[in-house]
Amino acid sequence: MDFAHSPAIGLSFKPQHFADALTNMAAVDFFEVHAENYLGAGGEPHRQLRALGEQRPLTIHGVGLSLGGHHAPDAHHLRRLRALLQRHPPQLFSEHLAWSSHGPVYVPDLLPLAYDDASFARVAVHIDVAQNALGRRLLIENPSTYLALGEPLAEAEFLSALHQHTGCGLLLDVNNVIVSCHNHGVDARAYLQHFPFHAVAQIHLAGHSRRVLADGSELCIDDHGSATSDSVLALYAEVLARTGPRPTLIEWDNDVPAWPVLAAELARVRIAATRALTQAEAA
Amino acid sequence: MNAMRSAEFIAAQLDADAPSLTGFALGANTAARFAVHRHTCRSGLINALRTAYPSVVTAVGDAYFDALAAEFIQASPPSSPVLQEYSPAFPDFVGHFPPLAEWPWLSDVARIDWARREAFHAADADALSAAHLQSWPVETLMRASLGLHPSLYTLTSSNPAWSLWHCLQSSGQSLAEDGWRAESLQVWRIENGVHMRLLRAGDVTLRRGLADGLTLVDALQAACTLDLGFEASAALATLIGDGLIVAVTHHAQ
Repeated sequence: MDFAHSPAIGLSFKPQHFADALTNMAAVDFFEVHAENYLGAGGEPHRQLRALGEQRPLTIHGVGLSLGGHHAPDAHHLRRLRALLQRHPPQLFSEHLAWSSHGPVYVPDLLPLAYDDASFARVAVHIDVAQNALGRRLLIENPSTYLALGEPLAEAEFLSALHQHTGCGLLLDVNNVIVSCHNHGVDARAYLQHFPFHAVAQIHLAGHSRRVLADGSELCIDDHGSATSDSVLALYAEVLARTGPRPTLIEWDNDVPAWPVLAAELARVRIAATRALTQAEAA
Repeated sequence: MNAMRSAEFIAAQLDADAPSLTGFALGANTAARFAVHRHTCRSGLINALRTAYPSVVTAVGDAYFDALAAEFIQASPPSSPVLQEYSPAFPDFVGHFPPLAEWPWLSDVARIDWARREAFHAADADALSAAHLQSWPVETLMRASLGLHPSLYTLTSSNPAWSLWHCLQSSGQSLAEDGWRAESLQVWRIENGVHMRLLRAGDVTLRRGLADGLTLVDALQAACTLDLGFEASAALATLIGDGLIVAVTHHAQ
């Protein structure tokens, strides 16, 4: 079974957990890191990644290519990414349907784009440029959005067309589906009706928080600061029933808990995945 | 969103005092929704600077640092998504920040923080052992150029930057009355640990000479000329003991 069709449950790795991860790795099937945190020349970060990669598959997640931006992905950054992917070969490399750079300025955020023809033409070219420069297929992740740009129902079709046009795979972030759909007043199941499940090669799960606005409405914030919510886990089970087994990553990037809490979260997701896949098989 | 709008969007994100997005037809609660993006961007950059400059955070306090960083991120936002490289320009900004004019040493403390960051991420290289180096005839070694470890950074300060940096690591410790003098130091990595050593002027000259490609004998000579108390054999032993020599390049006579 190839990795992209496996029921592996993985964890976004944090350096403070290195010793725990090495001595208690049974809970984790694969590790994911952000590419931009491993572009230094040497030292401890690469030593840790090498040690993890000797024991488990790695996936690498980029946050800086700005594929949705007005300018083509930065050639220098692409060269550095290519070197990283050669140094620590991952099973999968993913990026976002978003932008984060404009001209000389980068912001550490994933900004929304309009899902129109002009954006499509641009993003499709940028994905081609990146896939050629990196010499591999990219997975593109559905973003979490807050503003009335990036309307979710158009997004699922936009991603489907990108997959058809560029051959890229998709990373389905189920938490982002819940967050974006809530923020735009769209039913998450309606969103998924438009989603090309056959192109999904990886799934992300994470926690989100809620903020009450002045008019009493609630905004969902994709802050990766807690356990995956029950609503996200329920939708994940429905997704798995459609996709079949897919490597699933738990992202916990803020208020990062101690290793035992993460191990328990991995076990919780594994149980949900096993149940969903068993039920789908029986049906 | 067209290109001009993208630039406006980012500018409004970086500036907490700017009004929220104007001229964007983005539906109800645009300001509150845009605030999520502004917070993500600003807290991400301020946290990047806090992580890079922990001694400056200790020196000025959390609230002051955040205000200082907020000024900096607007003046010098990053151009690269590699935030561990953001930003070598901060020490100069601190040095020229008018409200900190009374603390002229702070920018040098910031440079130590940055050198430690650089050393942490520098390329790996195996040090040549004393035994290996001693296997060369002295004359041959003297006429060779020595490659230094990629993690080595030398800093010179007209202030006691090394002592002040150490005071900031142990809260409450203050500098002795007679401790105010210029200091030079090296920052480097052994295995995965970043270390620091106080240097005399001749040590700095030796390291910089070797880094510039001088032969060992020429670099030692330059150090002796500049620093009358410089002891070549002790300085060389330190260089070797610190694991700083990683290559020997012989030159044709």
